[in-house]
Amino acid sequence: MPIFEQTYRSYEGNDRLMWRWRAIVWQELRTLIAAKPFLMLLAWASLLFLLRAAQVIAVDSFRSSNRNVAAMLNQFDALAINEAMFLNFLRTEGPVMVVILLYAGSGMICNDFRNNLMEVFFSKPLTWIDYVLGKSIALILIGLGVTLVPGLLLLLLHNLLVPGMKTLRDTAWLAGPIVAFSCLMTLPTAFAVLASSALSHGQRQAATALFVLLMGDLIIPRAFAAALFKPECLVLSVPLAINQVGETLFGQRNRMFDLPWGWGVSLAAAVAVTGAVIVCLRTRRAEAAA
Amino acid sequence: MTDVIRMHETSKWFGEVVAVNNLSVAIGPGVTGLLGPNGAGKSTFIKLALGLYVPSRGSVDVFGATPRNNLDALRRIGYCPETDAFPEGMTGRDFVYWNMRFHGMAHGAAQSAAREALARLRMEHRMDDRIAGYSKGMRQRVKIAQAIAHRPDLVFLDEPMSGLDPEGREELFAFIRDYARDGRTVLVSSHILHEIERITTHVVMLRNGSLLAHGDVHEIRDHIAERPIETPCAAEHAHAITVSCPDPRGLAAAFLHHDAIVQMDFARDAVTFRTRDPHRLYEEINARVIDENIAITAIVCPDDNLQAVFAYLTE
Repeated sequence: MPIFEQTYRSYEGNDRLMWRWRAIVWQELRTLIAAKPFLMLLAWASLLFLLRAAQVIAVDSFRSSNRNVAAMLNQFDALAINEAMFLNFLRTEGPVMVVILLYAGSGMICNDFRNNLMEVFFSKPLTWIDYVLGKSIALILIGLGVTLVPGLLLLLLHNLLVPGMKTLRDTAWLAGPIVAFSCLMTLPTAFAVLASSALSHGQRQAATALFVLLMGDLIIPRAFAAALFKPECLVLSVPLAINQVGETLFGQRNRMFDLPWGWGVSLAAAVAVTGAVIVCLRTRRAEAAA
Repeated sequence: MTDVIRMHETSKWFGEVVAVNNLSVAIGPGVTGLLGPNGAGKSTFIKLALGLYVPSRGSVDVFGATPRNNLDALRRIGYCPETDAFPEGMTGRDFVYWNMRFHGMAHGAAQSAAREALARLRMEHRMDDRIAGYSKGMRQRVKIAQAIAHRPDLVFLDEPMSGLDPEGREELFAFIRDYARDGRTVLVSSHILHEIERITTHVVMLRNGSLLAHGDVHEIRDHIAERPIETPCAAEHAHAITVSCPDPRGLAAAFLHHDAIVQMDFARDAVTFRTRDPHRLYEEINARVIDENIAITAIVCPDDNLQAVFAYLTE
């Protein structure tokens, strides 16, 4: 028997192959939750949610208790609890989500490179796939936590305050658009942030580069559309294209521009896939020659 | 003795730079010193054994299998890197805890392993402070703690003594010797020879990526002395025995025609004999001193140490 297999106690590990990335997810989330700026950003996102929740509670409560108030409320479209409200809620949470992901994710990979942590990670029973999965899932969970979760909570709240089959029938379909639109906003953002982090030397550099890119992508197509009187130029903007898919998902008729929703989805998918490929390549290279 | 690490004709180059050159070496349980000047290839050697580098040529086996992406092997390995490698804003306890989670430990097991390892390295009083506020020596202890907390069978310590104060070094020497006592393998790299000499006599010596010598340092020393033809300065490589006494010339005269002595050097109160048969000469010096009642103050062997062996090999 080899001497190194003898009596002393040694740890062999017991996690299944496919769950090793969980530790990285927990580490990222626990580290972020301990950071005050992150908590303040979460508070900002929560405030937007609480305002919408207050709207839902107020409108649903008054509507069931007082017919006069209900009639008055019906005249204010902005206060109505309908698909437009859910879309607008996600639209307002979108920029907050981007800022949160920029803060949370821009240092996730570059800081590991800068602090020589890659060789520590890969000297553990972790592969580059675990690393990429852990970082991506942590960021995606944060993104969905400020879009999908509050969106579904508002829907649930509305159904609890106005119980009945009619409410359920009228609003159940909204769960699909809320899930789809939240994912459509979160996935490209998360992978773009991670890719920026993987290509940068520091957190600030990664965040600034992506912020400038995002602003450019918002401003330049608008400038072209205005200068050339061609609203189709707006389709070059990823956020506007995603927004247009959201309008389609939530059945909005007044759209900023008219284009098949597949374009927006393809654009978002292209950003997410490109980001994921960059992260995978950089991490794999670090693993091969850490 | 079973080999834990085995390299066969292993080379690793980065572009035109050869970091490790045609290395064939086998390392078994116990403490082994990985020695060489800066740039000798020590860290590359360790990273090859960890699977962090893929050999450009040859093979590397750890626990009988290639270490690259070998998660079963990596579970049994601990690694303390040479450079600082800490996430920002983390405490020492959290750092070790999360590294244990990466090893697949559950929450409770990781917590107790982290606490135990940090206590063993005398860091329990500062383990809840942020690493950014630690001294170099404390950071070194935390790095070592994360390498040994899961009680691995094989530990790589890359320059572990750097930054430690003398007391910390002594504790670490004792810890390494104790850790390897159970049959575990500890590979300690250093460019400071006397540090390695304190913990082991078994060494792998590297220079410019090539293997200079491998084995027990005293055996290597004997080997150098016994094979003068292969070394450029035969007399200099013979063993030195220095006898301090009030009349060194009188003592030297008694051994003037001794066939085992190849050279004599005189100092004020000492004579240094250079010999290819140190055991015989020791016995004869002792016998002569007793028989003729010669007053001596010391007999030392100044070059039977790592420093001398390394100097001879790198001349």
